[in-house]
Amino acid sequence: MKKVSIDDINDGMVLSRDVCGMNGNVILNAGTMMSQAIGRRLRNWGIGYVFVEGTEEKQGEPGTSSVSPEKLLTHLTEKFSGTLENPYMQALFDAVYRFRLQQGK
Amino acid sequence: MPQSIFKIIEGITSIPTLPAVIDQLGRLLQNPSTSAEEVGKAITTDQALTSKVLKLVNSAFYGFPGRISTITHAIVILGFSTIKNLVLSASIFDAFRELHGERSGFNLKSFWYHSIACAAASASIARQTGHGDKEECFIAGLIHDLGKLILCQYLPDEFDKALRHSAEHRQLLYQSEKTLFDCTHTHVGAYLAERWNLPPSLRNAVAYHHTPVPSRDHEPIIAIVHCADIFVRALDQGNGGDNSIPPISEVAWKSLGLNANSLGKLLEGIQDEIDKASAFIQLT
Repeated sequence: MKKVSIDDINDGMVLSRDVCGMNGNVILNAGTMMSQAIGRRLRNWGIGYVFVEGTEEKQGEPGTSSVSPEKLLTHLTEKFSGTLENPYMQALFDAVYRFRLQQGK
Repeated sequence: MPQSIFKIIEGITSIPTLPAVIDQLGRLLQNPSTSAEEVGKAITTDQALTSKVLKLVNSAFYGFPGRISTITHAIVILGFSTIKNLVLSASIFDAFRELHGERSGFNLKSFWYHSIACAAASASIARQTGHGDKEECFIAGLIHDLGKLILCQYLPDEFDKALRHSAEHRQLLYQSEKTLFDCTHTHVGAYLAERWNLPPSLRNAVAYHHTPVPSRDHEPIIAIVHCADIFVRALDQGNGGDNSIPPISEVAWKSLGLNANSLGKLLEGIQDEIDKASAFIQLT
């Protein structure tokens, strides 16, 4: 699954998650085949991005927002220093590391 | 509170105020027979505020199809309490618009980004855990650090000292304030909330977001803002003046029913909400 900005939707992408409006109504179901025209309509609904099938690797813009696992680990270790004896912080550290790696930031 | 810093703050008469419409809305919304027109009329007497509220209503945060062009329409769709909180958010940005207290190590843009991210994260935690009121938690997150802005503006030398102390000792600004002045941004912020006549729940969230203990009144909102602040720091969303991260309190973790296995999903929801809240940044 990867997150794509509405402006980057291409024909043939397949939604991996339902797209919901603010009230929680489903506007499009997971599995729907996307097109640029649908993307434009979603933008009119105020939707900023959708989740589509595929992996998180960046197409055509290598390395722009991806972060190296080592750098992230160093950064977070420094940021969390002194707190990691707390088991909840250990859990948060792990979750944040995985989440940010997956998000590429 | 015996602190001398606090005495100085109390003596400052030019502390930012909120517009009269906030009090007026509070009164109107307590009356069950108030109509949408009456509320709309109260808001639209302030044109600048009206346009900001409409800008937020039409942002991705609320995600409506099509444009909402009148306050009355917005009230019908969003409800009184959401509108009241929107007006409050817009007024808070306005109240601090005139402050230009940029200090080395304290960037206003980053400060607001941290505050708005914390607001969005608080709202998201409220929604995902089913504790607290989403709207109220948003405001609580937005104002949790306002005491820092007051310190920065009215006691710049002391604030500088605290910023330097916190950077040198690689500790929270909160701890440095406490060591140096025995008075922290949480005291000052809670005082501001009181002066603004905000409800006790918001005041307590500001006062105790670094020290959530059980049996405090309004415990969920305090726990939510406490966790939101920590999550937002861990995600590096903005900066509130220091680069440390406080440990999560066991009380907060347990009272919200958090667990290690669902943290990833919680973070995902938080990041989504922060992304949607970007329209608020433009108001700062």
